[in-house]
Amino acid sequence: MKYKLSDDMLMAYADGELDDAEQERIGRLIAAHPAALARLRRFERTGRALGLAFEVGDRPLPAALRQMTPTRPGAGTSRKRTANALDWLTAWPALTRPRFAAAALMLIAAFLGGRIWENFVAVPPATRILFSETGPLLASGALREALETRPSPGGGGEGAPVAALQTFRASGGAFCREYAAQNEGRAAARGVACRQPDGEWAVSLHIANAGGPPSQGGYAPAGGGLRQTLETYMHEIMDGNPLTPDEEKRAIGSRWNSAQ
Amino acid sequence: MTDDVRDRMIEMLPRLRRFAFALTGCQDRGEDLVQETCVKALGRADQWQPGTRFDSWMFRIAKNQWIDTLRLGARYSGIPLEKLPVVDAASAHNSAAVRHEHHAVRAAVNALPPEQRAIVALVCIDGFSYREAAETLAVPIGTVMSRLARARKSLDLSLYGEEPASETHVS
Repeated sequence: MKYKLSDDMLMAYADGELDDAEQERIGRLIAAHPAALARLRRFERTGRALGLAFEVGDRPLPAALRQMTPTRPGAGTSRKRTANALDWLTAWPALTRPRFAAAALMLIAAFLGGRIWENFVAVPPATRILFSETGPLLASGALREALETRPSPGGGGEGAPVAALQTFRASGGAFCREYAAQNEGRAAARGVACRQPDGEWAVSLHIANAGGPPSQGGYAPAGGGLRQTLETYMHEIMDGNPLTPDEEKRAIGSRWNSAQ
Repeated sequence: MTDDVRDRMIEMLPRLRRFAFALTGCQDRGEDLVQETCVKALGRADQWQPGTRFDSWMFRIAKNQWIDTLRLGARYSGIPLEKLPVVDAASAHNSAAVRHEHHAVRAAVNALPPEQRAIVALVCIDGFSYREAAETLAVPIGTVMSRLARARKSLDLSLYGEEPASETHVS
């Protein structure tokens, strides 16, 4: 049977607005149809650009607003906490919604490196997919294999518990891949890893709890703000557009020779 | 109650500033709108009911305030796009290309009809679900979806050129 996969449907999929069964069904269709995947990527690209264009950054609060929100006498410690939180939130606008506080911790853990990381990742050693002694976090096991050898959805890589979702070049020329990893039916982890000259994949950002478990084949998008965080990050480091399935295939075939 | 509203207001200021920036298309005018919104919210603090969404309440006040201002004297319209100040919010490490892109995105959003802009600001920038956006703006969820789809297509077209096929036949 033939029918139309409309833009409304693609957008609802990208926004995580469909019910589980529908999300899974549309995800499979998108994965199987490069034209739909290309359109989805365009919408995601516009979404990333939107997320960044209106950040107020560290622009100071106008004096009039500061006067309207003065420190209350006697509100001591709780006021101080709010003020500190406000400073922090202003510096990290993508994380301003309270329910993303946990995600922020995860991000920080990833940026800080392996030792702290160990405290957050409750995965038995046998299934651990990240490895670090003291240096950068390196992908190992199933994650490393997926990053090194498997195409993204649309190129035949759908359905695996650990999978690369898309591939792009960072501004320095290195290949980077967004990935998702399902942890025994629990919430999915999402992240970005870039290939190093020595052949290792260094994880530069990892969100341990990125919303519900991925739908088979399609990978449910990370929840609103987490998705924005991830996409903001990718937008910052991405040079040009994500690789097409063919370009990705060639890159895998050349063992990620970045000079090709 | 007023203290409670004030505390919550401080907590959501970064989001409110971003929302107002997206609505007005200009950071300075966005700050004006934030200020007007906060004044209104404090003035009617007793109307907010604990247990309901505070952020939706604030966004609704901001959006209504902005629409009122547009109707009153077009204070926020009629300024040619090229005259809008290029305010770069991101930090100094951003390259000129990124600044240019941010400016293009803001100009594209600024060209959208006001109602579409509000939905883009809530869903695409703040991460509201369609239902949350519908409740905040007091419109049916179908309206949110259709406005959002139109807005995204316009943005996509003005930012990246040639319109993609609007549907794919799949089997």
